Amino acid sequence: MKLVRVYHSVILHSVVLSSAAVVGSLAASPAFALDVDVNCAGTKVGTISVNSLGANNGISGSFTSVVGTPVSLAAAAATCKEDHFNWYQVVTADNGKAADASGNKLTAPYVDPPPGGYDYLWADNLPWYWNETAAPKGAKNVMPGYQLSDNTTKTALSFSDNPSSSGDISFSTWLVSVNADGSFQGFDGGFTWVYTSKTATVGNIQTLTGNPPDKYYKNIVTGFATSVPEPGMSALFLLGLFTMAWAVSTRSDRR
Amino acid sequence: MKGLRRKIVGGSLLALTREAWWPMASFAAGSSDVHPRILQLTFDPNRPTWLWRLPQELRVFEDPQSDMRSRLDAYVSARDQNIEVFRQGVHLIAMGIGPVLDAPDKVELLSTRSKAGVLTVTLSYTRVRLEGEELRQNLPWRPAIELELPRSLSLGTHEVRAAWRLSSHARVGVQLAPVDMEQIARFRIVAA
Repeated sequence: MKLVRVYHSVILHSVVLSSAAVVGSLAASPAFALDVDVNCAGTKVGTISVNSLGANNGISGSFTSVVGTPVSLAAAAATCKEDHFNWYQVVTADNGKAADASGNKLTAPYVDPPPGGYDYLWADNLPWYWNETAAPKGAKNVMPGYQLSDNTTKTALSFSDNPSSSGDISFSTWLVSVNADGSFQGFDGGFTWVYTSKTATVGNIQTLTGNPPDKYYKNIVTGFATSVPEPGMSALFLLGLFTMAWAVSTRSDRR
Repeated sequence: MKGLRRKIVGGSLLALTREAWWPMASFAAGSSDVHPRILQLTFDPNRPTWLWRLPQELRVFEDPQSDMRSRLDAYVSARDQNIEVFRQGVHLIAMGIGPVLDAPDKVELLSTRSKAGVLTVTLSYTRVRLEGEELRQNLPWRPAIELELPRSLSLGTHEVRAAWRLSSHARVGVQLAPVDMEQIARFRIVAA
Protein backbone atom coordinates (compact mmCIF):
# COMPACT_ATOMS: atom_id res chain seq x y z
CA MET A 1 0.00 0.00 0.00
CA LYS A 2 1.37 3.32 -1.02
CA LEU A 3 1.79 5.94 1.65
CA VAL A 4 -0.69 8.75 1.68
CA ARG A 5 0.39 11.73 -0.33
CA VAL A 6 1.14 15.02 1.35
CA TYR A 7 -1.74 17.42 1.57
CA HIS A 8 -1.73 20.70 3.38
CA SER A 9 -3.05 24.23 3.26
CA VAL A 10 -6.23 23.16 4.94
CA ILE A 11 -8.77 25.92 5.13
CA LEU A 12 -11.88 25.51 7.18
CA HIS A 13 -14.87 27.63 6.41
CA SER A 14 -17.87 28.40 8.53
CA VAL A 15 -20.54 28.75 5.93
CA VAL A 16 -23.87 30.36 6.43
CA LEU A 17 -26.01 27.67 4.87
CA SER A 18 -27.57 28.43 1.51
CA SER A 19 -25.58 31.58 1.14
CA ALA A 20 -22.26 32.42 -0.33
CA ALA A 21 -21.04 34.22 2.75
CA VAL A 22 -17.89 32.59 3.99
CA VAL A 23 -16.03 33.43 7.14
CA GLY A 24 -12.54 31.99 7.23
CA SER A 25 -11.51 30.36 10.46
CA LEU A 26 -8.88 27.79 11.21
CA ALA A 27 -10.46 26.73 14.46
CA ALA A 28 -14.08 26.79 13.38
CA SER A 29 -16.18 23.89 14.62
CA PRO A 30 -18.52 22.57 13.44
CA ALA A 31 -17.17 23.14 9.93
CA PHE A 32 -19.53 23.16 6.95
CA ALA A 33 -16.89 23.46 4.24
CA LEU A 34 -13.35 22.36 3.68
CA ASP A 35 -10.54 22.71 1.13
CA VAL A 36 -7.65 20.24 1.09
CA ASP A 37 -4.70 20.50 -1.29
CA VAL A 38 -3.55 17.22 -2.86
CA ASN A 39 0.13 16.82 -3.74
CA CYS A 40 2.01 14.17 -5.68
CA ALA A 41 5.80 13.99 -5.75
CA GLY A 42 6.00 17.44 -4.20
CA THR A 43 3.69 19.01 -6.77
CA LYS A 44 0.22 20.26 -5.99
CA VAL A 45 -2.07 18.39 -8.38
CA GLY A 46 -5.42 19.66 -7.18
CA THR A 47 -7.79 20.54 -4.38
CA ILE A 48 -10.55 18.65 -2.63
CA SER A 49 -13.40 21.04 -1.80
CA VAL A 50 -16.54 19.97 0.06
CA ASN A 51 -19.56 21.84 1.35
CA SER A 52 -22.56 21.05 3.49
CA LEU A 53 -25.71 21.92 1.54
CA GLY A 54 -28.15 22.46 4.39
CA ALA A 55 -30.99 20.47 5.91
CA ASN A 56 -32.02 17.42 3.86
CA ASN A 57 -29.61 18.38 1.06
CA GLY A 58 -26.47 16.55 2.16
CA ILE A 59 -22.94 17.25 1.12
CA SER A 60 -21.34 18.03 -2.23
CA GLY A 61 -17.83 18.62 -3.44
CA SER A 62 -15.11 17.70 -5.86
CA PHE A 63 -11.46 17.07 -6.46
CA THR A 64 -10.34 19.59 -9.07
CA SER A 65 -7.07 19.27 -10.94
CA VAL A 66 -4.69 22.21 -11.27
CA VAL A 67 -2.08 20.56 -13.48
CA GLY A 68 -1.68 19.99 -17.21
CA THR A 69 -1.87 22.19 -20.29
CA PRO A 70 -4.76 22.46 -20.54
CA VAL A 71 -5.60 21.58 -16.94
CA SER A 72 -7.09 18.10 -16.72
CA LEU A 73 -7.90 15.30 -14.33
CA ALA A 74 -5.89 12.98 -16.59
CA ALA A 75 -2.81 15.18 -16.09
CA ALA A 76 -3.27 14.99 -12.31
CA ALA A 77 -3.59 11.21 -12.56
CA ALA A 78 -0.45 11.02 -14.71
CA THR A 79 1.48 13.16 -12.21
CA CYS A 80 0.40 10.73 -9.51
CA LYS A 81 1.42 7.79 -11.77
CA GLU A 82 -2.07 6.31 -11.83
CA ASP A 83 -4.96 5.78 -14.23
CA HIS A 84 -7.83 7.63 -12.58
CA PHE A 85 -9.36 8.80 -9.32
CA ASN A 86 -12.39 7.67 -7.36
CA TRP A 87 -13.57 8.05 -3.75
CA TYR A 88 -13.41 5.50 -0.95
CA GLN A 89 -15.99 6.09 1.77
CA VAL A 90 -16.38 4.31 5.09
CA VAL A 91 -19.26 4.63 7.52
CA THR A 92 -17.28 4.72 10.75
CA ALA A 93 -20.25 5.01 13.14
CA ASP A 94 -23.91 4.34 12.40
CA ASN A 95 -26.74 4.75 14.86
CA GLY A 96 -29.35 4.03 12.20
CA LYS A 97 -30.58 0.85 10.55
CA ALA A 98 -29.00 0.60 7.09
CA ALA A 99 -29.28 -2.71 5.25
CA ASP A 100 -27.24 -4.16 2.39
CA ALA A 101 -28.63 -5.43 -0.93
CA SER A 102 -29.70 -8.70 0.71
CA GLY A 103 -31.49 -6.88 3.52
CA ASN A 104 -28.84 -7.67 6.16
CA LYS A 105 -28.34 -4.96 8.75
CA LEU A 106 -25.01 -3.19 8.38
CA THR A 107 -22.78 -2.60 11.37
CA ALA A 108 -20.10 0.10 11.30
CA PRO A 109 -17.45 0.26 10.15
CA TYR A 110 -18.50 -0.68 6.63
CA VAL A 111 -17.69 0.49 3.12
CA ASP A 112 -20.24 2.84 1.58
CA PRO A 113 -21.65 1.43 -0.65
CA PRO A 114 -21.23 -2.21 0.42
CA PRO A 115 -20.64 -4.88 -2.29
CA GLY A 116 -23.75 -5.01 -4.46
CA GLY A 117 -25.10 -1.83 -2.87
CA TYR A 118 -28.03 -1.25 -0.54
CA ASP A 119 -31.53 -2.64 -0.41
CA TYR A 120 -32.67 0.45 -2.34
CA LEU A 121 -29.68 1.04 -4.67
CA TRP A 122 -27.48 -1.15 -6.87
CA ALA A 123 -23.68 -0.83 -6.69
CA ASP A 124 -20.83 -2.79 -8.27
CA ASN A 125 -18.45 -5.06 -6.36
CA LEU A 126 -15.50 -2.68 -6.22
CA PRO A 127 -15.03 -0.80 -2.96
CA TRP A 128 -15.00 2.63 -4.63
CA TYR A 129 -17.77 5.16 -4.18
CA TRP A 130 -18.70 5.59 -7.85
CA ASN A 131 -19.40 2.44 -9.87
CA GLU A 132 -16.70 1.49 -12.36
CA THR A 133 -18.63 -1.36 -13.97
CA ALA A 134 -22.08 -1.29 -15.51
CA ALA A 135 -25.01 -3.01 -13.84
CA PRO A 136 -25.72 -6.46 -15.27
CA LYS A 137 -28.95 -6.96 -17.19
CA GLY A 138 -31.87 -7.44 -14.85
CA ALA A 139 -30.12 -5.85 -11.84
CA LYS A 140 -32.57 -4.24 -9.45
CA ASN A 141 -32.55 -0.70 -8.10
CA VAL A 142 -30.18 0.64 -10.73
CA MET A 143 -30.32 4.44 -10.63
CA PRO A 144 -28.77 7.00 -12.95
CA GLY A 145 -25.85 9.14 -11.85
CA TYR A 146 -23.79 6.63 -9.86
CA GLN A 147 -21.24 5.68 -12.53
CA LEU A 148 -17.73 7.13 -12.33
CA SER A 149 -18.25 8.62 -15.80
CA ASP A 150 -21.37 10.45 -14.58
CA ASN A 151 -19.25 12.21 -11.99
CA THR A 152 -16.11 12.97 -13.94
CA THR A 153 -15.53 16.08 -15.99
CA LYS A 154 -12.38 17.01 -17.88
CA THR A 155 -10.95 18.72 -14.82
CA ALA A 156 -12.82 17.38 -11.77
CA LEU A 157 -14.18 14.35 -9.98
CA SER A 158 -17.35 15.20 -8.11
CA PHE A 159 -18.60 13.91 -4.80
CA SER A 160 -22.15 14.08 -3.53
CA ASP A 161 -24.12 12.31 -0.82
CA ASN A 162 -27.41 12.91 0.89
CA PRO A 163 -27.98 10.36 3.67
CA SER A 164 -31.09 10.03 5.78
CA SER A 165 -31.31 8.09 9.00
CA SER A 166 -33.00 7.69 12.36
CA GLY A 167 -29.56 8.01 13.98
CA ASP A 168 -26.39 10.03 13.60
CA ILE A 169 -23.78 8.73 11.13
CA SER A 170 -20.06 9.43 10.82
CA PHE A 171 -18.24 9.12 7.51
CA SER A 172 -14.62 9.09 6.36
CA THR A 173 -14.04 9.80 2.67
CA TRP A 174 -10.72 9.47 0.88
CA LEU A 175 -9.74 10.44 -2.64
CA VAL A 176 -8.28 7.22 -4.00
CA SER A 177 -5.92 6.52 -6.89
CA VAL A 178 -7.13 3.61 -8.98
CA ASN A 179 -5.41 1.58 -11.67
CA ALA A 180 -6.99 1.01 -15.09
CA ASP A 181 -8.41 -2.35 -13.98
CA GLY A 182 -10.14 -0.79 -10.97
CA SER A 183 -7.54 -2.05 -8.48
CA PHE A 184 -6.22 0.06 -5.62
CA GLN A 185 -3.18 2.25 -6.15
CA GLY A 186 -3.05 4.73 -3.25
CA PHE A 187 -4.89 7.15 -1.00
CA ASP A 188 -4.68 10.87 -1.69
CA GLY A 189 -6.14 12.49 1.42
CA GLY A 190 -9.72 13.14 2.34
CA PHE A 191 -12.17 14.34 4.93
CA THR A 192 -14.50 13.17 7.69
CA TRP A 193 -18.04 14.39 8.09
CA VAL A 194 -21.08 13.78 10.28
CA TYR A 195 -24.77 13.46 9.48
CA THR A 196 -26.98 14.60 12.36
CA SER A 197 -30.41 13.01 12.26
CA LYS A 198 -32.16 15.58 14.43
CA THR A 199 -31.45 18.39 12.00
CA ALA A 200 -30.93 16.24 8.88
CA THR A 201 -27.77 18.22 8.23
CA VAL A 202 -24.15 17.46 7.40
CA GLY A 203 -21.44 19.16 9.44
CA ASN A 204 -18.21 18.79 11.32
CA ILE A 205 -16.25 18.37 8.08
CA GLN A 206 -12.62 17.80 9.00
CA THR A 207 -9.41 16.93 7.18
CA LEU A 208 -8.30 13.32 7.15
CA THR A 209 -4.61 12.77 7.55
CA GLY A 210 -2.86 9.51 6.77
CA ASN A 211 -4.05 6.28 5.24
CA PRO A 212 -7.12 4.60 6.65
CA PRO A 213 -6.24 2.24 9.51
CA ASP A 214 -6.80 -1.49 8.91
CA LYS A 215 -10.23 -1.35 10.56
CA TYR A 216 -11.37 1.14 7.89
CA TYR A 217 -9.76 -0.55 4.89
CA LYS A 218 -7.89 -3.86 5.06
CA ASN A 219 -10.36 -5.51 7.44
CA ILE A 220 -13.54 -4.43 5.65
CA VAL A 221 -12.78 -4.75 1.94
CA THR A 222 -12.58 -8.54 1.97
CA GLY A 223 -16.01 -8.97 0.39
CA PHE A 224 -15.14 -6.80 -2.61
CA ALA A 225 -13.58 -7.59 -5.97
CA THR A 226 -9.99 -6.36 -6.15
CA SER A 227 -10.16 -5.45 -9.83
CA VAL A 228 -12.30 -5.61 -12.93
CA PRO A 229 -11.16 -8.54 -15.09
CA GLU A 230 -10.02 -7.32 -18.50
CA PRO A 231 -12.04 -8.73 -21.42
CA GLY A 232 -8.97 -10.57 -22.73
CA MET A 233 -8.35 -12.21 -19.36
CA SER A 234 -12.02 -13.18 -19.05
CA ALA A 235 -11.98 -14.72 -22.54
CA LEU A 236 -8.79 -16.64 -21.69
CA PHE A 237 -10.36 -17.89 -18.46
CA LEU A 238 -13.51 -19.03 -20.28
CA LEU A 239 -11.42 -20.71 -22.98
CA GLY A 240 -9.53 -22.59 -20.26
CA LEU A 241 -12.79 -23.69 -18.67
CA PHE A 242 -14.19 -24.94 -21.97
CA THR A 243 -10.95 -26.79 -22.75
CA MET A 244 -11.04 -28.51 -19.35
CA ALA A 245 -14.69 -29.43 -19.79
CA TRP A 246 -13.99 -30.80 -23.26
CA ALA A 247 -11.01 -32.81 -21.98
CA VAL A 248 -13.08 -34.31 -19.15
CA SER A 249 -15.93 -35.11 -21.53
CA THR A 250 -13.57 -36.78 -24.05
CA ARG A 251 -11.97 -38.85 -21.29
CA SER A 252 -15.34 -40.10 -20.03
CA ASP A 253 -16.38 -40.97 -23.60
CA ARG A 254 -13.26 -43.13 -24.01
CA ARG A 255 -14.17 -45.07 -20.88
CA MET B 1 -57.43 5.50 -14.90
CA LYS B 2 -55.05 2.85 -13.62
CA GLY B 3 -54.19 1.64 -17.08
CA LEU B 4 -53.13 5.11 -18.07
CA ARG B 5 -50.63 5.59 -15.28
CA ARG B 6 -47.07 6.26 -16.19
CA LYS B 7 -44.19 5.69 -13.83
CA ILE B 8 -40.56 6.66 -13.85
CA VAL B 9 -37.79 4.82 -12.12
CA GLY B 10 -34.34 5.64 -13.36
CA GLY B 11 -33.19 7.26 -16.54
CA SER B 12 -30.03 9.16 -17.25
CA LEU B 13 -28.77 12.66 -16.80
CA LEU B 14 -31.55 14.99 -17.74
CA ALA B 15 -33.00 12.15 -19.70
CA LEU B 16 -36.50 11.50 -20.77
CA THR B 17 -37.62 8.35 -19.03
CA ARG B 18 -41.22 7.87 -20.12
CA GLU B 19 -43.42 9.47 -22.67
CA ALA B 20 -47.14 9.37 -23.02
CA TRP B 21 -49.44 10.91 -25.56
CA TRP B 22 -52.68 12.20 -24.22
CA PRO B 23 -55.50 13.16 -26.52
CA MET B 24 -56.78 16.55 -25.48
CA ALA B 25 -60.27 17.45 -26.55
CA SER B 26 -60.77 20.90 -25.17
CA PHE B 27 -57.61 22.49 -23.78
CA ALA B 28 -58.46 25.35 -26.04
CA ALA B 29 -60.14 25.82 -29.34
CA GLY B 30 -57.97 24.33 -32.03
CA SER B 31 -55.83 22.15 -29.75
CA SER B 32 -55.62 18.43 -30.30
CA ASP B 33 -52.78 16.88 -28.31
CA VAL B 34 -50.29 17.54 -25.57
CA HIS B 35 -47.47 15.18 -24.79
CA PRO B 36 -46.70 14.87 -21.07
CA ARG B 37 -43.29 13.50 -20.24
CA ILE B 38 -41.77 12.92 -16.84
CA LEU B 39 -38.09 13.78 -16.67
CA GLN B 40 -35.51 12.92 -14.06
CA LEU B 41 -33.11 15.77 -13.40
CA THR B 42 -29.99 14.42 -11.77
CA PHE B 43 -26.97 15.90 -10.04
CA ASP B 44 -24.73 17.62 -12.58
CA PRO B 45 -21.02 17.74 -11.64
CA ASN B 46 -20.56 20.64 -14.04
CA ARG B 47 -23.12 22.63 -12.08
CA PRO B 48 -23.02 21.23 -8.53
CA THR B 49 -25.61 23.52 -6.93
CA TRP B 50 -27.81 23.88 -9.99
CA LEU B 51 -30.23 21.10 -8.99
CA TRP B 52 -31.22 22.93 -5.83
CA ARG B 53 -31.39 26.33 -7.47
CA LEU B 54 -33.97 25.34 -10.08
CA PRO B 55 -37.24 27.09 -9.21
CA GLN B 56 -40.05 24.77 -8.13
CA GLU B 57 -42.57 26.23 -10.55
CA LEU B 58 -44.48 25.61 -13.75
CA ARG B 59 -43.30 27.80 -16.60
CA VAL B 60 -44.24 28.13 -20.24
CA PHE B 61 -41.57 29.00 -22.77
CA GLU B 62 -40.80 28.75 -26.44
CA ASP B 63 -39.10 25.48 -27.36
CA PRO B 64 -35.43 26.28 -28.08
CA GLN B 65 -35.43 23.29 -30.49
CA SER B 66 -32.35 21.92 -28.84
CA ASP B 67 -31.23 19.42 -26.22
CA MET B 68 -32.69 19.07 -22.75
CA ARG B 69 -30.08 21.28 -21.15
CA SER B 70 -31.08 24.13 -23.45
CA ARG B 71 -34.71 23.54 -22.57
CA LEU B 72 -33.88 23.76 -18.88
CA ASP B 73 -31.92 26.94 -19.48
CA ALA B 74 -34.99 28.30 -21.27
CA TYR B 75 -37.08 27.25 -18.28
CA VAL B 76 -34.77 29.10 -15.89
CA SER B 77 -34.76 32.24 -17.97
CA ALA B 78 -38.51 32.24 -18.55
CA ARG B 79 -40.11 35.17 -16.84
CA ASP B 80 -41.22 34.63 -13.28
CA GLN B 81 -44.46 36.46 -13.86
CA ASN B 82 -47.68 34.56 -14.20
CA ILE B 83 -48.51 35.74 -17.68
CA GLU B 84 -46.36 35.31 -20.74
CA VAL B 85 -47.34 36.42 -24.21
CA PHE B 86 -46.54 34.30 -27.25
CA ARG B 87 -47.30 34.59 -30.93
CA GLN B 88 -49.74 32.07 -32.35
CA GLY B 89 -48.10 29.11 -34.01
CA VAL B 90 -44.89 28.97 -31.98
CA HIS B 91 -43.88 25.70 -30.37
CA LEU B 92 -44.50 26.09 -26.64
CA ILE B 93 -43.42 23.92 -23.77
CA ALA B 94 -44.86 23.90 -20.26
CA MET B 95 -42.41 22.57 -17.70
CA GLY B 96 -43.04 22.08 -14.00
CA ILE B 97 -40.21 21.08 -11.70
CA GLY B 98 -40.94 19.18 -8.52
CA PRO B 99 -39.17 18.88 -5.17
CA VAL B 100 -35.72 17.43 -4.48
CA LEU B 101 -36.17 13.67 -4.05
CA ASP B 102 -34.04 10.70 -3.01
CA ALA B 103 -32.87 7.65 -4.94
CA PRO B 104 -35.79 5.33 -4.09
CA ASP B 105 -38.49 7.96 -4.65
CA LYS B 106 -40.97 7.50 -7.48
CA VAL B 107 -43.12 9.80 -9.56
CA GLU B 108 -46.21 8.74 -11.48
CA LEU B 109 -48.36 10.56 -13.96
CA LEU B 110 -51.92 10.05 -12.75
CA SER B 111 -53.99 12.01 -15.21
CA THR B 112 -54.11 14.77 -17.76
CA ARG B 113 -57.39 16.62 -18.12
CA SER B 114 -58.63 19.74 -19.79
CA LYS B 115 -61.64 21.74 -18.76
CA ALA B 116 -62.74 25.21 -19.71
CA GLY B 117 -59.40 26.06 -21.28
CA VAL B 118 -57.41 24.83 -18.26
CA LEU B 119 -55.06 21.90 -18.75
CA THR B 120 -54.37 20.04 -15.50
CA VAL B 121 -51.72 17.37 -15.09
CA THR B 122 -51.83 15.38 -11.87
CA LEU B 123 -48.81 13.49 -10.59
CA SER B 124 -48.04 11.54 -7.47
CA TYR B 125 -44.63 11.53 -5.84
CA THR B 126 -43.08 9.85 -2.82
CA ARG B 127 -40.72 11.20 -0.16
CA VAL B 128 -39.12 8.18 1.49
CA ARG B 129 -37.08 10.57 3.63
CA LEU B 130 -40.29 11.74 5.32
CA GLU B 131 -41.26 8.13 5.93
CA GLY B 132 -38.05 7.47 7.84
CA GLU B 133 -36.27 5.46 5.13
CA GLU B 134 -32.63 4.71 5.93
CA LEU B 135 -30.46 6.09 3.12
CA ARG B 136 -26.70 6.00 2.89
CA GLN B 137 -25.24 6.51 -0.61
CA ASN B 138 -27.89 8.68 -2.16
CA LEU B 139 -27.91 11.29 -4.87
CA PRO B 140 -30.65 13.88 -4.94
CA TRP B 141 -32.75 14.30 -8.07
CA ARG B 142 -35.76 16.30 -9.14
CA PRO B 143 -38.71 15.28 -11.23
CA ALA B 144 -40.02 17.49 -13.97
CA ILE B 145 -43.19 17.30 -16.03
CA GLU B 146 -42.86 18.57 -19.55
CA LEU B 147 -45.76 19.18 -21.91
CA GLU B 148 -45.42 20.07 -25.55
CA LEU B 149 -48.35 22.37 -26.21
CA PRO B 150 -50.10 22.31 -29.58
CA ARG B 151 -49.05 24.97 -32.08
CA SER B 152 -52.71 25.47 -32.90
CA LEU B 153 -53.66 27.07 -29.59
CA SER B 154 -56.35 29.66 -30.09
CA LEU B 155 -55.89 33.37 -29.42
CA GLY B 156 -56.49 34.36 -25.83
CA THR B 157 -55.47 33.34 -22.35
CA HIS B 158 -54.65 29.76 -21.44
CA GLU B 159 -53.80 28.06 -18.19
CA VAL B 160 -51.75 24.98 -17.35
CA ARG B 161 -51.68 23.40 -13.92
CA ALA B 162 -49.48 20.70 -12.43
CA ALA B 163 -50.82 19.11 -9.26
CA TRP B 164 -48.25 17.12 -7.28
CA ARG B 165 -49.78 14.71 -4.78
CA LEU B 166 -47.59 13.26 -2.04
CA SER B 167 -48.18 9.55 -1.63
CA SER B 168 -46.79 6.78 0.51
CA HIS B 169 -43.98 4.67 -0.96
CA ALA B 170 -44.94 1.02 -1.37
CA ARG B 171 -41.56 -0.04 0.00
CA VAL B 172 -41.84 1.95 3.23
CA GLY B 173 -45.59 2.24 3.53
CA VAL B 174 -45.79 4.92 6.21
CA GLN B 175 -48.97 6.95 5.97
CA LEU B 176 -48.08 10.57 5.36
CA ALA B 177 -50.19 13.63 5.89
CA PRO B 178 -51.28 14.81 2.44
CA VAL B 179 -49.00 17.61 1.26
CA ASP B 180 -50.15 18.68 -2.16
CA MET B 181 -48.54 21.26 -4.32
CA GLU B 182 -50.15 23.03 -7.23
CA GLN B 183 -48.21 24.89 -9.89
CA ILE B 184 -50.00 27.26 -12.25
CA ALA B 185 -48.82 28.98 -15.40
CA ARG B 186 -51.00 31.39 -17.39
CA PHE B 187 -50.08 32.68 -20.80
CA ARG B 188 -51.63 34.56 -23.66
CA ILE B 189 -51.57 33.75 -27.35
CA VAL B 190 -51.63 36.75 -29.67
CA ALA B 191 -51.85 36.99 -33.43
CA ALA B 192 -48.63 36.23 -35.28
